[in-house]
Amino acid sequence: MNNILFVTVGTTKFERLINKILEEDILELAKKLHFKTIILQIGSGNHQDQNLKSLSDDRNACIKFNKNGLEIEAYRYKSSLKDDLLKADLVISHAGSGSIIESLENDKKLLVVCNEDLMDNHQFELAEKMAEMNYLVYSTCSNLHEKLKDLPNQNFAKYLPGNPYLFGNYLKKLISKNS
Amino acid sequence: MSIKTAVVLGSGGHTGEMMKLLSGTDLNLYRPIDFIVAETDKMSVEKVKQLEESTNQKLEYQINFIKRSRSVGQSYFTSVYTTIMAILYSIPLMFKLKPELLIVNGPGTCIPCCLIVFILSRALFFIPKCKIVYVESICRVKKLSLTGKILYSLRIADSVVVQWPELKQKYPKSVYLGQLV
Repeated sequence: MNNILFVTVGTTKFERLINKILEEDILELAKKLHFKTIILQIGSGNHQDQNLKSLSDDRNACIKFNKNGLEIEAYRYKSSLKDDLLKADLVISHAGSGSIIESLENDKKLLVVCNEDLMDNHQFELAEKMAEMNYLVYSTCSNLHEKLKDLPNQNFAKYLPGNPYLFGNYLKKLISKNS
Repeated sequence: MSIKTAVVLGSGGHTGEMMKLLSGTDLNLYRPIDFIVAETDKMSVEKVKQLEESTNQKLEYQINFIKRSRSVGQSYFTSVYTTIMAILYSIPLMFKLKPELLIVNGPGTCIPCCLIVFILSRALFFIPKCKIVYVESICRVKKLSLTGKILYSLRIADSVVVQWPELKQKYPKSVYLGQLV
């Protein structure tokens, strides 16, 4: 246990989630859940937190600060999030399928937060389905606190990854058919 | 025997899923591969290089750039304009590439390419017959995406592959192989 919480919004803009994470009640809850460090991959946008305002738009910029007794490390993007993902004991992620699947493939405890502000809200579908299969827990920004609090009582099922060879075999058959 | 293939990389998660799908194929069968990428999308170019490294297969590929037809969050209204631009840019490209197999998985950027290949190869016979394969994103559990619906209902795609049994039930002509990515 590294006591690390990793929050990722991918290449999207999801200011609400980052703002929410840095609210007092979430930080206090994170401490109660024994987290010591929060790593934030914040993407683009203007965030409320004063510390984050000093983070430049440079892709490789990274800052560290303390808030409510937690060590916070924040950056906009990294070429690979894998290292931070692997270190984490819990991942809080936007609903992008890449992020969901990479977390599950690495056997991470995962809480997915859907962005209600997106035009096309199909992303609820995957999170909902995978929550139904007990692979993850999903929430919105508004009920994040409640879901996070309830996390220790959750039973997560072992994730069965997808099999791209099924596609390879299918494609091979398809191109050998002459029609 | 290999088949001349074109693959549209739709950026972000679409590109990620496409790379996984391709990692499950015997890449010797699909050469050369012409990747079609939105001009603003640098990440997809990186992913192609990573695919070569991770599968240890030498690809014979080229990257072709086109205009992006819709960014995440863009309104439907301005989408119409950018889609028309994307179509105009894709005509000479598809004519030049003349793929025998076109693999796409969304988003909207892939529709102009599919439409043009379909018309050029099935209606006008300007280019040889091309099979169009659309793979719906794992994100879609209950409903096809708009792209998927268009390619499925107009029968532009020879094959619409879905990743959840719920979709197969709702769209009986689709193909369900299991979770792929």
